[in-house]
Amino acid sequence: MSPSKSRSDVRKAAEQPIKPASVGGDCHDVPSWQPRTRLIVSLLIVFHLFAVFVAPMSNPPPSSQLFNRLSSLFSPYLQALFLNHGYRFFAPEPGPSHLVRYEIYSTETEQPGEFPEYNGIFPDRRKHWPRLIYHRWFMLSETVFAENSLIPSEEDFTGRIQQIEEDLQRLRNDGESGRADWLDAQLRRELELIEYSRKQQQRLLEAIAQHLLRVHEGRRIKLYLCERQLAPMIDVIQGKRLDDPLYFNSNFEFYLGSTLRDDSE
Amino acid sequence: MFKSYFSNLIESWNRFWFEQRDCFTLCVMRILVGLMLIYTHLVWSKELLTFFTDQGVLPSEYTLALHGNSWFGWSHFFWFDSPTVLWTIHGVALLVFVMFTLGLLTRVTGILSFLFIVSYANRAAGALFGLDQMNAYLTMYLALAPCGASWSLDSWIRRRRGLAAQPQISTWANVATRLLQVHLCIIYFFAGTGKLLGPAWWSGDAIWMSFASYDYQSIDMTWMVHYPLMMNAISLYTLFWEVSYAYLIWPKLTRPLMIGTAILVHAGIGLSMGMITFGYIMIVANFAFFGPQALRDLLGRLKLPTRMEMARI
Repeated sequence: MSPSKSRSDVRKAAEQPIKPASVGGDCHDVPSWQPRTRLIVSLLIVFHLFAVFVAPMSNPPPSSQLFNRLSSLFSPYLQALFLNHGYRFFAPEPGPSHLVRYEIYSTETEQPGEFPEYNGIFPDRRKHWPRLIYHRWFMLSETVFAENSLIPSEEDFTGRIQQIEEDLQRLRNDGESGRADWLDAQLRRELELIEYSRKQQQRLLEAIAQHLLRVHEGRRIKLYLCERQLAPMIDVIQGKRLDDPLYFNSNFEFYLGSTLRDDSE
Repeated sequence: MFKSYFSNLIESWNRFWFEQRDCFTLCVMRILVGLMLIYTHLVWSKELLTFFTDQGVLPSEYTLALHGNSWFGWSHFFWFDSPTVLWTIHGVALLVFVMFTLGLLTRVTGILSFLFIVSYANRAAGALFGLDQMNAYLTMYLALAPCGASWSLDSWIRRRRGLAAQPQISTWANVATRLLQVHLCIIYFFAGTGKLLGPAWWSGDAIWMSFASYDYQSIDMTWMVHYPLMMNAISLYTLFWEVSYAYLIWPKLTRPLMIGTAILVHAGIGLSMGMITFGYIMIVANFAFFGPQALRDLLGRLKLPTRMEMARI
């Protein structure tokens, strides 16, 4: 095949009118698109589908630096069209569920041996109906868990900072200032992320706490993050129920904090 | 040879994306998706001020920060705070979803529906799950297509006025269908490959772990504990099905198996794990792979009027 002939073949293929597909029902004579329209739409399709592909490649972790960078390029488009999803439904595997337990008090100051006026939990299948609303509350409690898990404990945090500072000092003493600067920048990014997560968690917990105080007309609230473990098969064979307190006890409970009702609004 | 390869490639690309397609499947999907949009947002009414205002559980400062304080994470809920205004807009949104479902001013209500879904989702980030993603994905592509061409008030009004019927085949219908199909393959591909990271999917215990979650449970499936090998088989088959969906949905030979499994898996998740809405919308998404004639035949068996009969009426 001569080069000129094959080039014209490519052009012909691009400009060929598209015949109607085998369709059911009555067909009208609709003109197919011009090559230029097809080219423009093709470019848009490639851009769009690449963006759709980039989103789950970069989120959630683990993800490559390459796709993290691409994701920030496509971020406005993905955000504007609500396409920034990982689609990892039930992945990597179904796990324990997380719930938020709360205690409402009518006094502002803590008394020894006090009992809460109201004990609640969300999600609560007796209270949250229809099921879709229950699921919204469930996702909220999982979000509280996710925000909380991003924040290291004070002990871990101090240990990590000390370790990095020692590494930095060692690198600078060895004259490896380039690597030291890189590590320093990493540390700053990490600290910023932890600070951001702390702020986000505070905002979320404060809003939840104030909402619950208003609903239950309390003065003070304590919030706890709870985990319900999955029952092992052997336990169920032996007659244990999934809602057995064994899988939902204080060993899996984490104190999130306490706050007073804000009447300023 | 290289050039002929490219000319074949361009021809195949054009055939795949730009042939004309009957809109019937998309018209049916419009109704099914529209019903879910109405339900999803009607349910939001119960907790509108709880999830969408600063007096609720998700302060705008928090959700804006989730979007990196970017303008692109937009929502009308960030602009208005008055409950009266929010309820009015909520009423308008519900009306738009109803109009879209009925196929009234479909081209406009399709786009408006999509914008409303995104607006609600961006504000309620933190209380979302797969259903919201699927609602947006389906509506976005349906809004591109002439999905009000049949089984719609638009077509009924045109007939009443003696106007020519809207063409039942269009290139946009094909572009929208192909986008729905390819995007669905991407969704399943990542849902499947994400599971490959989980040991429980390899050991075959994942199905038990789903049944053992009390907070998801809607039907007690713990009797399956006496059939561990069956649960292993279901876990492993679900994994293989999800990972291979993106490839095996295209050949005609394996397509019924892929769609049949999708219906079983999603119906199972919907019924036993309390996510009937998510199960439903995933099954509707699989309609993208139903040919218009196959869907007509199926509906014909259900004794529903076909488009030809509707036109005759």
